[in-house]
Amino acid sequence: MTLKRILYAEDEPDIQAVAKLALEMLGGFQVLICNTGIEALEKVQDFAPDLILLDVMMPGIDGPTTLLRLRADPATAGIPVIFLTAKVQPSEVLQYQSMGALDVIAKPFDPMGLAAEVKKIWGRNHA
Amino acid sequence: MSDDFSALLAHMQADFLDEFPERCNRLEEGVMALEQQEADAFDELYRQIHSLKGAGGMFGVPVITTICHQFESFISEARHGFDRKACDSALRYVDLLRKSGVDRDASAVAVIEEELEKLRTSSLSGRASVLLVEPSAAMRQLYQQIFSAQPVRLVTLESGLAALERMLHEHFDLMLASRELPDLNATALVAAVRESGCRNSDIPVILVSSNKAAVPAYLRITALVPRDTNLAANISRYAAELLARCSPYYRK
Repeated sequence: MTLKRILYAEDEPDIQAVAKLALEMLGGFQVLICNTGIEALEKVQDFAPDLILLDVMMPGIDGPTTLLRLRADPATAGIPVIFLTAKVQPSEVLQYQSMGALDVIAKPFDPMGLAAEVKKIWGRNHA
Repeated sequence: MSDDFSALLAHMQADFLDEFPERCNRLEEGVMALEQQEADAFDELYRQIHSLKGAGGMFGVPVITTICHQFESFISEARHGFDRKACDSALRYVDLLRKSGVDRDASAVAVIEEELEKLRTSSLSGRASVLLVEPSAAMRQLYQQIFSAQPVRLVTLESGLAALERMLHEHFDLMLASRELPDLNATALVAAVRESGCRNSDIPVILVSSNKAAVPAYLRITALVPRDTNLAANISRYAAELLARCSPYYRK
């Protein structure tokens, strides 16, 4: 399966802008940015992404809670998720993987390398 | 495409740096609001610092992320007693941020990091920083009780790897660890810290264990305390001795 459409839930405007451009221009993906986990849950079915990127710390419901809600709905339960977090601790990575996340990308990420990192994680899981 | 993106990114970085002084002004207003105990002042200030922390690294100014990381911890610890002194310290963090947006060559960054370390020490107001690494909740509670009488800032972690990661980034005056830890046991943790050349490579270490086997000398363990009925008394005694050495009177 080819990766085309990415939904990214992130509350920081600076990071939203850079990530959207990086994923579109360097990865060739179609990207929908959502400001909150709630907005992601509202828009996920219409946008039908191949992959969801979730910031861990967001106001309202955080990334892990958003993942649990995605998993609870049969229509969205199968969409792969990658977390982005500033606090990458081994125990945290294991916890997110046990929740079903593909992987965790550390913040701050390198804008030039973000699309390649997403592709690498996707390729590892969809070989 | 990559060149186009690089050009756009450079443009966004320039915009970020143009707006940075204004964002520092807003942080300053946020600090004053917190001192005035305005409603939601803490949440708003925290959000602003957190936002800069993410943006700084992404836009190629990692020292902004380093300052914001420490600034965030500082206001979190000081929030319930945010007096004039805390306000002054917070404003010094804002000043450091201002400098970091202007002077970005390596020597200027080194000066900023040095000032950041001084600020960390002074905002502890003479309190020592103790890292406690203990997987058992009951033991953590016991140690917290022991240290509650001491003027220390206690950071508690449960695994060896988490402790190693923290020690590489943040200075501590004393580590108290259980010899057996998840991920990475305490002897491996201490070996890694000693080898790393980080600011903690000479840190005094108290190891607690029911395992009486000797620890290799090169690990320079200050005290190996058995897990027996004298545990609490022994920890109190060693901690008091070691902390006296790093109190402001002994600090260079």
